[in-house]
Amino acid sequence: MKKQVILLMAMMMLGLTSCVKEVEFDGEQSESLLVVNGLQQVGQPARLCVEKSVFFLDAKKDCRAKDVQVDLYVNGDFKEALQVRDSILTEVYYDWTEEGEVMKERLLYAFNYCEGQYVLCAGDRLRFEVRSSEFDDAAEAETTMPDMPNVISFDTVRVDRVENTSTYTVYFSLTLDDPLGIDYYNLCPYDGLVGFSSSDPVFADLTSIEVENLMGESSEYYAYGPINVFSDAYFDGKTYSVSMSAYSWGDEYYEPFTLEVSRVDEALYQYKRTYDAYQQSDPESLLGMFTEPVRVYSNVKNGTGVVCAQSQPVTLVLDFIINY
Amino acid sequence: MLFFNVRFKHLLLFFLLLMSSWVSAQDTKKSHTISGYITDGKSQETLLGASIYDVATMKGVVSNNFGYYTLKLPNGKIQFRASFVGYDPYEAVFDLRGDTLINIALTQSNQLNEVTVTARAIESNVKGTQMSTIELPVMQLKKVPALFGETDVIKALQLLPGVQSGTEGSAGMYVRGGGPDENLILLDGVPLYNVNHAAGFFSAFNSDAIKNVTLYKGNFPARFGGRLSSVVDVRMKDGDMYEYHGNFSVGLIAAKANVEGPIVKGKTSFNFSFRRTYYDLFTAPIMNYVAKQETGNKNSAWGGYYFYDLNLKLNHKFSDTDRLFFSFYSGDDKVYARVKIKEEYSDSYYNTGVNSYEKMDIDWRWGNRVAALRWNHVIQPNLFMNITGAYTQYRHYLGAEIGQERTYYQQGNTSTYSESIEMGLNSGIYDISAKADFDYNPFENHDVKFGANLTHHTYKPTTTGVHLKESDDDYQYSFDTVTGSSKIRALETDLYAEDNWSINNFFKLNAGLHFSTFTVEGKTYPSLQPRVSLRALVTEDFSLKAGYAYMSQYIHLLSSNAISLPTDLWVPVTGKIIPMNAHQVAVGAFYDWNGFEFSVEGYYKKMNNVMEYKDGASFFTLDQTDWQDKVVMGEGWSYGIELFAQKTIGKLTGWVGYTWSHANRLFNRPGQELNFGEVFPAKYDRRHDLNIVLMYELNDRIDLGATWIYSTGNCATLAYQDYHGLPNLSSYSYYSTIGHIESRNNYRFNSYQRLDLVANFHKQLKHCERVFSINVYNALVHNNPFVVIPWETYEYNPYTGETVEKKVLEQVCVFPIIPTLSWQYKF
Repeated sequence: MKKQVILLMAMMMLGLTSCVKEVEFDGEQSESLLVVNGLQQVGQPARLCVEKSVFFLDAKKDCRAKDVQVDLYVNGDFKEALQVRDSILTEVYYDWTEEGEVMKERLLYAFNYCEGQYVLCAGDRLRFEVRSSEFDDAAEAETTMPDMPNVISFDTVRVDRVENTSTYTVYFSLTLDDPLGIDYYNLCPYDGLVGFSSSDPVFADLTSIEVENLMGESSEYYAYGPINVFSDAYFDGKTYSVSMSAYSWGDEYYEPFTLEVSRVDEALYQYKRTYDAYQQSDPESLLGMFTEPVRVYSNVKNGTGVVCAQSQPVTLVLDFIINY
Repeated sequence: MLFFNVRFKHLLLFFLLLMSSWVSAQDTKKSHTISGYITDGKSQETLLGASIYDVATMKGVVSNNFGYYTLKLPNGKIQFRASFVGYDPYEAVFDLRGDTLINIALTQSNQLNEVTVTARAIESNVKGTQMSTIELPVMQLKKVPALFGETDVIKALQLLPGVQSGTEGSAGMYVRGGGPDENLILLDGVPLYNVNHAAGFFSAFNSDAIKNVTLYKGNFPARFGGRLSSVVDVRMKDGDMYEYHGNFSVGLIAAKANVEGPIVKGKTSFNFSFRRTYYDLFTAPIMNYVAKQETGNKNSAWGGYYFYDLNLKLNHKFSDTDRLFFSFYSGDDKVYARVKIKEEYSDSYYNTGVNSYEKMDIDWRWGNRVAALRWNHVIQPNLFMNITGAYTQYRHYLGAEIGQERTYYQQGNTSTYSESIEMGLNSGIYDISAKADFDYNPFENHDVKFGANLTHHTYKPTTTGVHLKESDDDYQYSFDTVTGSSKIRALETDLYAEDNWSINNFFKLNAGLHFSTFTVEGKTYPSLQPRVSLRALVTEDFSLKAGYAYMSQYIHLLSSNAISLPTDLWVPVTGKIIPMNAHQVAVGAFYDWNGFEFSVEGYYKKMNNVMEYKDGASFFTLDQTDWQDKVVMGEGWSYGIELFAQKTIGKLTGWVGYTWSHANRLFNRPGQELNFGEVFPAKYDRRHDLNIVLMYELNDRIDLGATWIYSTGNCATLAYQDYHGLPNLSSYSYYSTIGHIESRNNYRFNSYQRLDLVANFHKQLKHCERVFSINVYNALVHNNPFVVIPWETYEYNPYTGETVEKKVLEQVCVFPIIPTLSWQYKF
């Protein structure tokens, strides 16, 4: 897209011939990196995805590193070596051949999946050492498992019928009792709460990639996925109610809103923030053309990726009453 | 503030010492002032930077920006001489016994001109105190090849050492590692904010209207302030006082006309220039014709792009001591599109149908207006005053209207539905200023300039207005909103004083002080800026120079990295965004030999509070984020060596300029990190820049020109390694690929090379002179990168029958080769 836009602009402005040519990469070709990713959850065993990065001009899909070995240290002591297995994802597609349409399978992505047995506890300081025979140095990542959040309440504030429709906008709030110090929280909507939107200032750091935002129609944060992190910078050490709203689909589709609230570490917060910004700066997108490049956060030494942590969630159910 | 006080005390002490030196410098011998205007003998156009001196003692001055000079010399026999590039010198020998007025009218020389980059006898390459300064006579620029044959002063400046262009064809200037917003571009002393047309492929200056261009890239005299990296002082022609002249030229994309002459002979003159691109005059009707042909006259489409410049200067001479000037510039770029689509559908069986009418109007324009009224008054022979009142504005407007109307009819009943959305996006900057400048020659060997300036700025960052209407037979909805940052008003004051002091035959000093304040949002930022440069004349042909300048800047340009777009936004310092400042030191050696001039300069520049967009921020200003939240501040530094050699006399003239430089940035303040707080190269950090400019006068009818440019490729940020992100981050990102960026600006484009050629054929016709020019831009068809993009393509493998994904690096080249013909008629 970027290429076409540049060309179009040049042609529109000047009406001249331009040219595009494939060029050899003559920069300093960097070595592959050991990539370590994993979101550790209290009450679950440690899990990591390990792979090696590929040179950006290679269309390689098999990213498995050879002879991967992952050691887990808890509070400074060796706890266990994670079990490593191959994880291969494929997709089915249809191709036209002389024999007609034929179903084929192709590799989407292959990596090393690692899982331990030790069940992670709140307060555990984890350190992972990841080795591969393809890399001289071990990649290292550290994180600390957070405590559960102190949730005071989860309330319906108001329910408004959306004019000329059978849907309702439900305004609700989550009240947290925040301890002193830097803390990070995550909200994960599910079941009846497919997603939510919020203009609460706690989400100001997060980038929503909605087009409506870019066009100036709204400054709200839109949540669809399981990771919606925010920091307590706005309310450190205080009790605070986070405001949100979501659509209810009316009586016939009624399902209570369910929200999981957890504490997360800074790594997840920084990763999510930079990852969202990175998506907007995609050089192949129209907006990316006008956007500064982004380095996605990593806390992996001698490699890249992110190893982050999440507390056990507090599951909240909001059973609201629709006012006709 | 303590630092400010300490520094202020030191500077005060320095000035007291300077004042005492003035007193001690007064000769016991009585001295008198020789003063007057120096002009072209034919047109009475004032000549700026002409040398006026006593040949015996080589004491002298240069004429100021209004052609006025004042020279203090001791009583006695004077061997007076005035000279200017391309003119026969004026000489007179007389006995100086009192203050003397000599208005000098020089006549143009028939001999081969000393061309292109001038040397002045007094303030020459070797003898002047000023370094890092280059003057370009516009008349000579026409012998340099140009893109589309459009002589461009900014692009000519890019051929000098220490000055770099942005991307291919761009008129952006990056001086000694500074940013594009760090250049103060003055048109008749008034700042011009947007100096680009057509995304930077052309500058806003019509060379026909320009008399003189001076570039200061370091060691700034105290009279200039407000930018960190350079000053480009562009002066418009005053107009011929006695005869009408003009020219008309037609090139590949633009036509231009210039006419000048007297309104009242010997008293009042004018100079008027106009330039417009005419590409749209052809494309718009063709577009409309095609649209109508394809749709049976139902649809119409009309659109295009053009830019224009209009320059007007009026000049009235009341007396030998009073003159009034009025300068006006207006330049706009405009993109317009108007599309109308009519569709009809009917079903006669059911007697139903729909008539639909859709329209889209886009009006996108941006440009500058500058108006200045200037009064020159000679208070006394050794004291010259210039008072200026000026207005300058840069305005950007994007308006769009999209609407549709549908009429449904069924069984004789009709219903109508219509909707429309109008959107307007406005931004701009508006300045009103009053300025007083004085040239004072109090004692022998001292040439003093002082003055004050007061500017009221109004910044309108961006406002967006949206008007939405929707209606049918039973329902009406309308929505109106205006959003965006509110106007910011600021007051800027400047005071300056500088003395160009000939201490003795060996040393010459230019010392000055510039004090400025900027008041915005209830906060005042003061800045005291010392400037000093010293020349040591080792021999008549060889000198060493050193200088230091401290500069402050109160505005920033929020700009894209790659190209100059009208959405680039000038924003002021605020309570949150603090001023930029820079310290620059430079040393140099200068040598003249037999018509050749050589110089080598080294510089180091440290910049504080430079601004960049945050990672992931966009200058695309339609979102609601305040611009102040999109930027971060940090440090920058640059250093380099510039070599310059030029030949100014003979049939073959030109210059060779080479620059070796480094430019780095560091953003490591808490919460304002870029590149994770590590040092990275500036966007236009280039190790090598080599420019060769040659002009050859074959005979009276033909002159030839060639330029060859080589430079290290630009920097870009490229992710060399791809990896997969954290799984399950969100439903759509399970397989998302992330590019691992090792460092900002880690990739370099291929080197840039370009050979341009020009041949000018002059022919004297009955009533005018015709100049036919052939320009070839990028004659060697070198694929210079405009941008390089990693790109995914799909390749069919005939052996396996599979289509496989392939990643490539694609380079977009905008100007492979541009041959241009142009005709100019001069009368």
